[in-house]
Amino acid sequence: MSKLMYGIVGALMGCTLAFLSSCGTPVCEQPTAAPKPIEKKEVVEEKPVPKEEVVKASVKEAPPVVEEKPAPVASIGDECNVKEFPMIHFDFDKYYIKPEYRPTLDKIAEVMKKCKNMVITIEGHCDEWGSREYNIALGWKRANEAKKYLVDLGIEENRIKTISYGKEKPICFEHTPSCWRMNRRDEFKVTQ
Amino acid sequence: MKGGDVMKPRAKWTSLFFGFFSLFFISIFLVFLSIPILAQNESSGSSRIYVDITSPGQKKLQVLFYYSGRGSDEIKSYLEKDLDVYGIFLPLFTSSKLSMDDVRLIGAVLYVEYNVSLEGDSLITDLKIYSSESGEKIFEKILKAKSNEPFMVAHRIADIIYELITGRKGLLGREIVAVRKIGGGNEILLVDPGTRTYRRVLYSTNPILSPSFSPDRSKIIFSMMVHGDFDIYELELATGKYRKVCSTPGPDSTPVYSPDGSRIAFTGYKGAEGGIFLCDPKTGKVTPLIVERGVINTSPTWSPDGRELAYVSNRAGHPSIYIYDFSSNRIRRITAGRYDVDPDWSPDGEKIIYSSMEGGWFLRVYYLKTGNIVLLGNGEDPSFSVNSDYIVYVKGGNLFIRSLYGSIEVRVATGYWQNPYWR
Repeated sequence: MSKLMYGIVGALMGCTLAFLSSCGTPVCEQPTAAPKPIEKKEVVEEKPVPKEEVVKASVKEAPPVVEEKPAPVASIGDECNVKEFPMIHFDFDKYYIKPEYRPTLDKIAEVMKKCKNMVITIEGHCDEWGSREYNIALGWKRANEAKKYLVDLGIEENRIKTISYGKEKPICFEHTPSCWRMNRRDEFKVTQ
Repeated sequence: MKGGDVMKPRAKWTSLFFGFFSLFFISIFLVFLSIPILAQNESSGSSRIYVDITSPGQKKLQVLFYYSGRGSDEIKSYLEKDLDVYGIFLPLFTSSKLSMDDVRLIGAVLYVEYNVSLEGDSLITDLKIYSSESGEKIFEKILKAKSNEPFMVAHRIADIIYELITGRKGLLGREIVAVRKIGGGNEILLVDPGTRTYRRVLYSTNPILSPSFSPDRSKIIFSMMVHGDFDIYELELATGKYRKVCSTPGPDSTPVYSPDGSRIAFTGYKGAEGGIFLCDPKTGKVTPLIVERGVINTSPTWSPDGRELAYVSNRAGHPSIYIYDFSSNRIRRITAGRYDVDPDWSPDGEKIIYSSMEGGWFLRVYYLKTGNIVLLGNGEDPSFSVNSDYIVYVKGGNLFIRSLYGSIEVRVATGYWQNPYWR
């Protein structure tokens, strides 16, 4: 009974937090909201799925949220010769742009507007959790979410290429929450 | 080798005490077995023994081998490893001939005689299999193999035994394709589960994902990143040559041939939006099948009749397994875990295995008829064997095989393995 209560309270808090953090502004999208099919597709049964025995896993809980500080944006020297922009990070299994990383993207857009010939590649990456295949798709979403943000700020679409590495190219190799956070990222490389 | 050498025949069954003891044991054994064993005569005159291997408490079945001839010893050591993969046999070996009474005393279900001779470059194996219950010969065949491939003989014998005992198709003749990470690169390897050995098909410093066989097993299709983009490639096993077959402007992955070989289902993209696409392997023509705005749809697996696809979708907020029906153009959700991925539809069509991430990785089987979900144990990235009784999966980077019905896990390869595919 008390477990149930905790569950309900937890779920409510989780929902509220998720709502506050992810949808505070009109820019962000709620990725989990019921999607509109592009193709002719129709859902019939979202029928309750059969219960099964409860599994007591040696639960390493889903990666906890770590305090995140956006890296400082470089603004020295000739901005048009910059090779790479600071990366941005994501929550587990999510691809919306977190509010604290908007300044990073705003700065990239500013530089790209000044440097008319600059072309960038956004690489989407994931942490070690989950399947390789799913993470390829997730990395693609992460890269394209950042691209969309930049395009909305007026950057031409053809100046932004997107790549997904899924979980194939981690930059941090420990099995710790801070490493998982590091690896859930978009990298911005200047390719031209 | 577990206990097989105990049965060295030089020890004749002279001890009265031991005889009585064995008789007692056998009678109990037979009482137990008489229920699940069904001996039936076929028109050919040979009889088969079908044991219900799906009951969880099934005891290991003793199989007594009498082997002779040059090279038979080597085959014996391969047979031990082979039968180990099945997990339901207890092989006993003797190098002198036994009477059927002796076989029954020992409690063996089958008595297998094989005599090996070398003719030129070939190993000729004369195989005879007897049912200990009826005393009749139920199988006889001359097996030929290259002299340097005695394991092929062992695989064949082990598969025949499995087929005689269970009435199900054997699986040792088939290799597993999987990706292994070594150093900075990825390689596609073919693993022989019987010998626990493997051979390289392809190496690349680029990421390689999700290889699978064409229905005739002459080709492997996989996803590989070249110049920053994942595309679908097809490799011909006979020549080792590969070519790009399907491509969209995003990271294409998870290719699987339809059972009739006419189409490839894979994960592709139309701009920022991705999902399940179909591709004609002859022309490379790509058509979207399940694409939804803002949704990840990936990892398709075909039903054996080719009329449905199971796949992973996060349309409800987190990844779950869904089934798409081609005729009605409808989808339905079949799992409700927090993170269910990597489905594989069994070749017999009855079940779908997948892995769930809940802190660790767990293997679960969804039964289509009942809608029941059964937890098997730890593991990820599962793939069915051709007979739908066994799976190969990854645990701690190593490749394992287990039956759906027992709890014995056989480690077939160590290292950093991913994405095994077997059927």
